Amino acid sequence: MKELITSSEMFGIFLSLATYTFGLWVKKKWNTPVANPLLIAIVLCVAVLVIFDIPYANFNAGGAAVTSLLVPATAVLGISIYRELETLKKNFLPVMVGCIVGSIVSVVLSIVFCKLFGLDDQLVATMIPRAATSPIAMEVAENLGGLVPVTVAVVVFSGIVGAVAAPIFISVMKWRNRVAVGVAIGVSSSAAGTSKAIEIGEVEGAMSGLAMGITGLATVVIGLFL
Amino acid sequence: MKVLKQLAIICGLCLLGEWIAGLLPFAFPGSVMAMLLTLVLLLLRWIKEKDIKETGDFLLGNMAFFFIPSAVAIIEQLDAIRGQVVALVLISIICTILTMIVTYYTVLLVTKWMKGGKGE
Repeated sequence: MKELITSSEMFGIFLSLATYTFGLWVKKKWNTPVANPLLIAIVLCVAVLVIFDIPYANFNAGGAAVTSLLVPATAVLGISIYRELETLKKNFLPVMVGCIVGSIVSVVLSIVFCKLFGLDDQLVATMIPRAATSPIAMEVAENLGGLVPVTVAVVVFSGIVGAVAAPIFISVMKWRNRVAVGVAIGVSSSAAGTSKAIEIGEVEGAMSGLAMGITGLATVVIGLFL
Repeated sequence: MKVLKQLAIICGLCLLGEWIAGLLPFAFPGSVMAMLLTLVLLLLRWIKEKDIKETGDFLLGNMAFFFIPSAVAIIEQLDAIRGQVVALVLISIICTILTMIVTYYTVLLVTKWMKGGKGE
C-alpha cells in the first residue's frame, strides 16, 4: 500500500505542494518572520519521510520536476532587474562594492568559524561557498574537495536563515535603504533569500537577484585563490 | 495558450543560458547566465516584458517553493555529518547574519560617501 502511493511521481509533487500551502497558511495566520513557508514545508516533508520510512528516491521521483523549475525561476530574475534598472544605474558603485566586500567577508568568516569549531579541512571546503547560489557553490565545493551534497543543504539553510533574519533587521534595526537591504540579502543568502526579498519589495528583489549573480561570480574567483 | 507561449520563451532562454555557460572556461551556472541573458535581451528589446510577464511573475512570486525537494535531500546526508550538525547549523547562522550586516552597512556607507562627494 505504502509503495503503491509513494512510488508515484505525484507523491513528491503533492507532498511539496501540500506542505508549502500549509506553510503559507501558517504565515498568513501568525504573520511572523519565523513562520517561513519554505522552512515549514521542508520540516514537514522530512518528518513525513522519516515517520513513514519512505526512501528519498520515491519523494524525488516527482520532486525532481519541481527542482527543474528552479532554473526558469532564476532566469526571470532578469525581469526584476530590468524593471529596476534606474535604481541600479543610480546605485551602481554601492551595489558593486557591497557585493564584492560581502563575498570576501562571507568566505573569510566561514573559514574562521569552521576553524573555531574545529571542523576538518573537508568540511571547511564544504562550507566556504555557503553564500553562493547552489549551482556555483557545488562547483566551488567540488574544486576545493568538499562534500557537495552537504554544501547544497548548507546553501539552502543559509538562505532560509537570511529569509528569516532580514525582516527582523528591517523592523528592529530600522533598515530603511531598500537597495542595501536587497544587496545584503542577495550576498548573504542567495536564491532562497532572494525569494524572500521579492516578497519584501520589487527593489529589494531585483537587487537581491543581481547581488546573487555577482556574489556567485566573486565566489568562483575567490575559490581560485584558495 | 499565453502561459505556454511565455513558458516556451523562458525555457528557451534557460537552454541558451546553459549552453553559453557551458562554453565558458570556468564553472558558471546556466541559471545565472539565463538571468543575465534575459536582462540583456529585454534591454535590446529582442524580447518585450509583456512576452514573459505573467509566467515570469508567477515563477518570481513562488520561487521559494522550487527549493523544497533539493533541501529535503539533506535526510540522505545525515550520516556524513553526524556529530557535526550543530556546528554546521551554528556556523551557517552566524556567518549569514554577520555577512548580511556587513553588506548592508557597506552599501549604506558607499551611498553616503558618494552623496557627500557630490555635495562638496
